[in-house]
Amino acid sequence: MRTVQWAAFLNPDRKVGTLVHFLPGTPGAATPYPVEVALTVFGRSLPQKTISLDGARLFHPDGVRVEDIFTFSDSDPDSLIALQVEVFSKQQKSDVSASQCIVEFPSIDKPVLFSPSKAIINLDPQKGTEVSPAAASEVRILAIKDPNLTPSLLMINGDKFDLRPEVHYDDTEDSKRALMPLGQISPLSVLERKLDGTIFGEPLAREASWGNVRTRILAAKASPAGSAMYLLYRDVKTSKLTSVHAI
Amino acid sequence: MSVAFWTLSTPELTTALHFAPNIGQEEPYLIKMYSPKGELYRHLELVAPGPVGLTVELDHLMSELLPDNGIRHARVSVDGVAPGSVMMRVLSKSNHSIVSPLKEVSNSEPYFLPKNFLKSQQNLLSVMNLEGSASEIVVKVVLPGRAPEALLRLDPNSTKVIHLQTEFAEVIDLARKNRIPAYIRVRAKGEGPIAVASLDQTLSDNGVSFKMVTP
Repeated sequence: MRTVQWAAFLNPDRKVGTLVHFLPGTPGAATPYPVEVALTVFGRSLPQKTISLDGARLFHPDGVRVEDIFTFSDSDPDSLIALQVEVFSKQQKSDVSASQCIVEFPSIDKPVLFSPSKAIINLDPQKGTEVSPAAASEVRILAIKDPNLTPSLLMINGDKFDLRPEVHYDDTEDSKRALMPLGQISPLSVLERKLDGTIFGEPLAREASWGNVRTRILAAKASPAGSAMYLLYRDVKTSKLTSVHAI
Repeated sequence: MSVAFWTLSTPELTTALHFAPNIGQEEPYLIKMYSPKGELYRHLELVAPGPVGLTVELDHLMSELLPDNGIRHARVSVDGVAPGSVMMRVLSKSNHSIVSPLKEVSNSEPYFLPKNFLKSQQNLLSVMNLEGSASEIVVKVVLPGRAPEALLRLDPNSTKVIHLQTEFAEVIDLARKNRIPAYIRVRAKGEGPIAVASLDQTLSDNGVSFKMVTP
């Protein structure tokens, strides 16, 4: 049996909320049979909770507002909450690996939408559990810093053990790679770290019409299933999110 | 490896490509720009950037294009890049955002986008044929109990901008009046790779603003 799992995070602006949209799919043609959808939330001060959704069917797009089905305390000091979405079928031979998911932080003029990190989990009684992509593989992404945008790394640990994320950046002045000091993330929690000037290097700027731009390539070890890493961009003046990229 | 972006140039919105600084890459990047009709109108070779990387503002590379459906737009493809080393910036008066390369849409994994149709907005969909032979695509607007679709033919390497409110007038009017959330689905009818991008045009007392919506 195959389960598709996405690891994302909720809009820190709880009043606006988070919409999660999903499109269950198979690699080939199939009748639109029912599939199972489960949502799980957790955070540093929020115990793990899971709710199953009714009525999902293959090839039928659907969505829910997460804050309408889970209750969050307004006084929750930890505003970063992880969201895991799972799509699977109770039919042993069904393959829902072509399913898709989009997370939306709604706004009339500046909505933020992103495709969360996806993992396909193969549960085979003979072979055991296989997860793709494999956690050992490396993913590279360009990070940008300038007078309008400030980047940060958001890391989700969906495991019951501490996670020590490994992210290197290309130190092109010295033609070598350097390890970013990110520390470790507690079990079932979310952490955001600003990418400050130390990794971008003050002299390494180039001029564009809107100001000086600095870039770095980040190379991250792929996260295990249920965990994920994101590169976020916020507006420098308002600190509002402008884009989210799964690593 | 090759990546592609949909780029546009309006008085309110422009774009720029960011190339990563690289250790040891000597091969140049090849940038190809295709007009909406599918003509390769620019072909540039850029020397791989040194330790400071490279930013290419695309506005002046689009000045010769004639407006199509009211906007100047093109598809830009970059060959010879390592994964994750090129991103596009979308600049507007009120917002800067970073956009990842377009995802190829296949028959089994269609393009899928949630959409709230608002009275103050025009919603455009840009569909691109990424290869040198003609392709057919199916665009569908999905509401509870209704899912009208349109079949479109794309010439080789061409880009077609669809005004959703014109193409799906009846169902979008219904969604707007009753505030029903909808979904857009686009799939290739054959095997040919296609890509899709979405653009919202908002009309207000302050004028017109554009927002590229690409998950």
